[in-house]
Amino acid sequence: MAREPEIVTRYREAAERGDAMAQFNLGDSYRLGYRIPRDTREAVRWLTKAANQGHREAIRRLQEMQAEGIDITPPPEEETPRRPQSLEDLLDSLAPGQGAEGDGGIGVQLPVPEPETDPLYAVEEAIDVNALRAAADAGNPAAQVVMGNALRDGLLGFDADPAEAARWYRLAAEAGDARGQYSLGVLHDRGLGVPRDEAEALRWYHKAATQGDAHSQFNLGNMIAQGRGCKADPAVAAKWFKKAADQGDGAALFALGALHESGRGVAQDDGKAAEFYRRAAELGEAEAQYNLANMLRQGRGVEPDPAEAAHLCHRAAEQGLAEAQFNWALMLSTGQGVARDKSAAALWFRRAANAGDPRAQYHLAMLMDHGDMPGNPAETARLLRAAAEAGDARAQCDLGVMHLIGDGVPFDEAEAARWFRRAAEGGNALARFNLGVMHAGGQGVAKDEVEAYCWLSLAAASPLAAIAQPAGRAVAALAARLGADGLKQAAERAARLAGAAP
Amino acid sequence: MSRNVSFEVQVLTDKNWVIAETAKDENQAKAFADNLLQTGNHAAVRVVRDWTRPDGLHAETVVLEKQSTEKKGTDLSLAPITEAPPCRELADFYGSAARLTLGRLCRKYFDEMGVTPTEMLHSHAELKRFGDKDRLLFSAIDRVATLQAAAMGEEPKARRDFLGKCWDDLCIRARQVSDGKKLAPPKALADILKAKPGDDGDVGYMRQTLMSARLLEVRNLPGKLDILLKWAAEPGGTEILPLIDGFTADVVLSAQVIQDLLGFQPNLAHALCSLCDLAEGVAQPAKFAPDSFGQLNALFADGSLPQAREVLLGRVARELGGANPLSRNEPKLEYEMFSKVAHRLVCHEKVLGGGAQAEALLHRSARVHNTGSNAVKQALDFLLSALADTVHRVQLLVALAGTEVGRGLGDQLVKELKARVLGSDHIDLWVPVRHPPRDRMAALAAVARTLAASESLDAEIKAELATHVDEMLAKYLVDEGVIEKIDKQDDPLALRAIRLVKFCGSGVLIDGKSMALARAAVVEHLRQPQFEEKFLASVGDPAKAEKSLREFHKLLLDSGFR
Repeated sequence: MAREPEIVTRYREAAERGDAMAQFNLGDSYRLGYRIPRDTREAVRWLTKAANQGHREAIRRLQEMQAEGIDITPPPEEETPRRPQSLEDLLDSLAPGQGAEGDGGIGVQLPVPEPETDPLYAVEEAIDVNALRAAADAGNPAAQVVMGNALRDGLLGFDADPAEAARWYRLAAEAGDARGQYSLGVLHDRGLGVPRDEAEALRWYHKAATQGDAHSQFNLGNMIAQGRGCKADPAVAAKWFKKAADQGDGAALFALGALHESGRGVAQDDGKAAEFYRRAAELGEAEAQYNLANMLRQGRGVEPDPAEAAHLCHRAAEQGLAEAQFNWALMLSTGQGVARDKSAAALWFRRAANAGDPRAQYHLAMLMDHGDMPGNPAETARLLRAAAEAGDARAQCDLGVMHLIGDGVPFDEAEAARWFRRAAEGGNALARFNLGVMHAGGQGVAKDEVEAYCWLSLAAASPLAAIAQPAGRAVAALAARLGADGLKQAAERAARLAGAAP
Repeated sequence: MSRNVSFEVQVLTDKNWVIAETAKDENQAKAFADNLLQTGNHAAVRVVRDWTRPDGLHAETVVLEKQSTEKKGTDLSLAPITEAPPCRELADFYGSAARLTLGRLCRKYFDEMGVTPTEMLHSHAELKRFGDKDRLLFSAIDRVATLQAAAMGEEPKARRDFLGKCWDDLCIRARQVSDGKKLAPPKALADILKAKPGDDGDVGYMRQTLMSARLLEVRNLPGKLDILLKWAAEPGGTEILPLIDGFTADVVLSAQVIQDLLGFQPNLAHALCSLCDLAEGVAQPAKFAPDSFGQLNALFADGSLPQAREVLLGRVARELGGANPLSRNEPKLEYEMFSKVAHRLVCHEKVLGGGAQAEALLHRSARVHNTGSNAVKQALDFLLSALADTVHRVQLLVALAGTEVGRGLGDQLVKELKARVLGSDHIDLWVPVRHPPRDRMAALAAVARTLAASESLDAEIKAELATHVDEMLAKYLVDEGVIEKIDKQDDPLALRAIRLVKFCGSGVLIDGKSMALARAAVVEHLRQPQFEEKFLASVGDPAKAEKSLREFHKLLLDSGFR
């Protein structure tokens, strides 16, 4: 083997002592094959050592090598000479290996995927803003609509300016462009950049719809179904929905499904409803997925299939539909159509609650209250209040109870009575009983035995024996004190309250 | 011309002037310099007049200096690939895996030059041009050698030397074919078909060389694709379809070509589904799709382009495993689009693209749910829960079992698979109720076949799981009276017998209990006294009776009855 040139040997000795310049020179010699055989691996090793000491030239050299596609990962250092095995080494060698077994796969790394060196970028249209503006100025309606879209939503570097958007849309609309007419209709419908005007919205939707624009056909159908800007007529609405649906508009397919399910404007037909829902669901319409899931669960219009119901409900839930998130959580917690998974259920109850579903908020509060989920009384009360304010009678009643005992909320009898009243008016039997008792005793409210009699008699009609029986006993006791006039007055008031209840 | 005067032709290399040639004549030197500049391999050239003075000293004068008009700053850097298939002999370099790796590694160069890897490997001029392109060849060899050495457990230097030697051999082979001259491109397909084998007896190489010569006349990929499709459509094209496939694979590697073919797509998810459709030959052209789309789709449909198919599916896997969102414009739809792609790839019969695709889906699942790269099991749970039914889930798990991730999960994956299979003991838990009975049975049969064919699962486990699926199918046949519905008592015997035998051979049954049930019904018919007489009598038209019986016997044999 040929002897190493002296200059290289000197570099090496100094480099091994830690001299950054020598490390750089040695690395560069290996890189260039200068006086020693070229060896990229060694070059990377020594250049990295120099770079680690802040040698700028070495850093630059490594960057250049990387740009050329050379792997600049430094090679592992050579093993140090073996030393006799110590007791610690022996114990280490006896320790179980790291790996997947028994750890639920948590420790398994997903290997870094092979990157695509030439990715698909332009599958979603890229827009040249200058060319767009020039085309719009030249009177191209399609470009005017795109300008309008950009200004409406503040895209392509424009600040949002709905009035300017309306100007562009109007130019396109008046030139007969269906998308321009549709977009102008939307602005009038929502009162964005132009005065809100349903008749004007209807007019532009109609112009675009007759040109075959599916979105306009759907929006027109929607306005007609809801009686906005014209007289409500579900049958006519269904015709426009049908036209949009024929073009594959998912929202229109869903709307047709809903009409068939309710029998508004078309013959009630669960089978057809399910069919339309399925087509819309396949296009990703979350509401359609949710409704179809309910039909599959209940076996309405389709053969019951809990597994498919669960799958569809999951898809709708993943899209953020709060009702679907709640149902999916219930399915997970009861194992309906899917393997039971309490922890996943809790996660979905929380997501539904955060999305504002009052049933989920109540359910989550109950799970916390029963200790099935970590939480505290204040958190429970917060969830109950959110559900109560959204009109959930059970939550209103439970919140009243919390105020009555001062658990998680300040002790406040008047506040308790207020929530009991809202729940009682919503038909909650326990709230009716509690409110009756509070009126009888003048607790948090003015003492009023006629009012107490009313609520207690309504509670006594509850099918729940645990409420009906004590309520019945209280009613009997009050009846003895009220006399005929009082009873007559109470009966009239109770009838009114019962009639007002949902 | 004085004999004391000479001319040096110099080229600018890495900021230094290097002598490329010397000449005695100024015009000759200038012409040579112009030629060098036109090759596009040098930033500048110059001609220096060297006069040797009587005192022996030299006086130099620059008589010509020209800068390259080539686009400045063209980035030809190598792409960051992380895998390079091993090459052990020269033939490996012409193989699909090597060519595609080369195509991906040197994408910028090939795009810039309007060349494909196969064309380059079969053209001495193109090989030389690549070799002369600054340090590109050196860097490419270095990159590939590093990756190969790591994968093969060899020394990088040895690998580098091997690749360098192979490169020289590639050049020698290409030069020998063209005999050092520019090869005349073929005028027609017939010229390619008439090609004679070279010294090594390889007619394929000669044909590819001729094809390359023709394709190199067109320096854009869509144009090359049109030529390839034209050849494929000609009567003699069938003979060279495998070669056309190889060139097509190079062409469809380019993102630009794919985008042109697919046309506008609402998002990446739609584009990936369309790519899968194209790879299977079932794609619908988008608005303003080029004419080549239909032809290409037809070739994919009849299985003529296996290499190109792999390229398309490889892109799907890499794009899916990458970071680009599936629904960039509507982020809310990201999960829905993930579900769409997942169900395009995982079907009742298979996972399109196999383990690589399953792994890519797992990556995407981790990304959609933001689980991080450590929580493989969590990402897998999410992915499984996104799939529509148990057949899909089992297909995915079996595909995953053969991958690196699957092996990493080890027992955990097998446990999951067993739980899914053994925990689903009714067909309703496997396939949605709404599917027709035939499709439901076919799905179960497919999953049983997938389990049995898996090379990654232990024989014992495979048998246990496949048997469970078979028993469930048999239970379905009995519970729903499927055989009785096929074998209607009131129908003529011939019709019943033929229907039953067809049922046995239809592929919707599993070799085991379910098949045995159906075969038992056939055997029962066959064993009845005077079966043939009764069969003949049951055919309304006596003239057709004999023919029907012969066809029935053939059907029996085709369906495995001996």
